[in-house]
Amino acid sequence: MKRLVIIEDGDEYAEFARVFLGDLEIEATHSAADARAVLRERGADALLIDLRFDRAPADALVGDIAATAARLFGGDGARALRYLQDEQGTLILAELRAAGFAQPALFVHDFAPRRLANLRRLYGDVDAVPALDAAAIRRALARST
Amino acid sequence: MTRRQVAALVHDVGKYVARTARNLPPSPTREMVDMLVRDLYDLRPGQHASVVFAQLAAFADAPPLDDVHALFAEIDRLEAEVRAGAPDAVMRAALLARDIEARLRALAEVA
Repeated sequence: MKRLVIIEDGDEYAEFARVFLGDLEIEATHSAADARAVLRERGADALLIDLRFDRAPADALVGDIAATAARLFGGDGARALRYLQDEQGTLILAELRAAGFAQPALFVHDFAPRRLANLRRLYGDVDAVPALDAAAIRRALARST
Repeated sequence: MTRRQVAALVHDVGKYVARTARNLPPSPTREMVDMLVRDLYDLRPGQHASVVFAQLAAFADAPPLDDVHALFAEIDRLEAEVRAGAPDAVMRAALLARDIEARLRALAEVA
């Protein structure tokens, strides 16, 4: 049975996967640290990653708000926090790749083709489907695993 | 309407309102119906998807959103029957939810 590790700030992906991707072994995680620990201990065949983490506590996010504010937003911490929330899935993937985890990663998001190409250039095996569509997710996972 | 506001509509409402709807088989299990009920009537704790949508869409009165409001109104009218698992209501609500997702995605494409 293939093992899918989900990284999200809620429970919607995991609940969906348990009902509609029942032939996969599913493990849910909620932060980069959580995912790293699970991957180290039990591994995975693929990752399903949410992009926006607007419900996660700020201190659980990858990225430093003050540093991001200074670097990108003229010191505006609120904008920096929104940016880190909006991009959290890719920031988590970057951290996992840096830690040596190269599993295929799948996002449920409508990335523009150029953006997806850039993510692939940076992080290797990355794919995206536009919706929580079990058949499309299965096809994407079959392509990459 | 900023790109971020549209993205919030697509991500926070469109994707999740159709989470179960777009995967329902012709004879859904009770577990699937319960998931659909959560997507439509408890999208955020204690909040119907229509309410979440109305809050996020409050910034805009673009004509396409009127259609989405109407679709949500029909979903809300079906609530009792969907909760009871009435097959026709479940399938109708799922169809409406998929329509909402498609309309919100189309909105994002032109934003």
